[in-house]
Amino acid sequence: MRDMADKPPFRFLPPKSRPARLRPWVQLAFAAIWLAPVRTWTAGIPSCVFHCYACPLVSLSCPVGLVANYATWHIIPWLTIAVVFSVAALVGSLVCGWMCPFGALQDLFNKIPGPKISLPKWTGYGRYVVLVGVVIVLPYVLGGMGIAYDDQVVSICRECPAGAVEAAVPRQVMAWAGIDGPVHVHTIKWVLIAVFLVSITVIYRPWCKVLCPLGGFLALFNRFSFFQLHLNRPQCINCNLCHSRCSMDVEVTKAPNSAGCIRCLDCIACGALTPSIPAFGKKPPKEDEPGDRV
Amino acid sequence: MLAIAAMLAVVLWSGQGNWLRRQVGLNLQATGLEAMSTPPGKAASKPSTHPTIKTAPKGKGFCPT
Repeated sequence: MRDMADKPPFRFLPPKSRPARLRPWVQLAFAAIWLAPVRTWTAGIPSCVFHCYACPLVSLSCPVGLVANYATWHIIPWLTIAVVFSVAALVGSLVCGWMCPFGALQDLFNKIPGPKISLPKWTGYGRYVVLVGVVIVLPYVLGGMGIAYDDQVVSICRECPAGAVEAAVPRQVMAWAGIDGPVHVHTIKWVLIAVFLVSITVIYRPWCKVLCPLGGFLALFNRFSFFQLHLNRPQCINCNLCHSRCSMDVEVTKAPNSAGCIRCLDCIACGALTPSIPAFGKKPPKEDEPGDRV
Repeated sequence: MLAIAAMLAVVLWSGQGNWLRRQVGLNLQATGLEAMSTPPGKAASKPSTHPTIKTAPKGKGFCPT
């Protein structure tokens, strides 16, 4: 098998696979669920996606914010752990590619034409630094010193771009419109918002790639989850289509279930790579079975 | 899936519904939405005695701004 890096990327990409074409609509449908104005009844239930619970329109709670709050209190968030573990065991980071509203927002902004930058792979470890350092250890230590989560100057919720875009901006607009009470958005927050909006236009999903603690945790389950991506090696003709399609810079033919993948399924157009759920009876095709080719 | 179903069955069968309610209540407190969920005319729940727990003021949701 020749090395994929030797092959040039596709100049004119063939049409995307059907699941990949459906993905924006699924993201839109899930966004409608996460943004449903029913939090009076459901706000205490943790969700499995990264969506700020201070947003005026929010149905469920952000699991990352909950874990950080509980770390301050020195309590284990069993319900949040159960929800996130269950989803991670079922589909892994499929959540990031198909369900996360913050991921959908980044997808949308990245469609703005202009120069695009690729990040080195080691930056993906930043997600685990944030998860352990900022979401668990820092609030745990500050909580032990008697500082409440709301009073902690450095915390995931204060520095979170989702909180800035989904909560600070709409609340400020509502305050200006006289719908809500006065809100003071710090200058640093506005700078964060500006940096984030610029970065998502030039880098594909920078938050997901480098800093998202929830995405990093879900991605750990990619190799073990029920949902798997299976590469039928005899069918692979090294056409490089999967590499050309992948916006997350995953080495698809080497490790289709790696932690850098968000399972957007943009890479399955050639037919050699197929999604499978072996535990539920939908097994990957046999090695000698012919598949759809582009 | 079986393990999750079994876990849920044990939780519900053993009358651990209180555990679930406590978890949801704590989550509400964490999100600062507890006061917002209180029906009009009723007082919000008492602030916790835990030194690090801060209940959001009545009518105010937690906002990381």
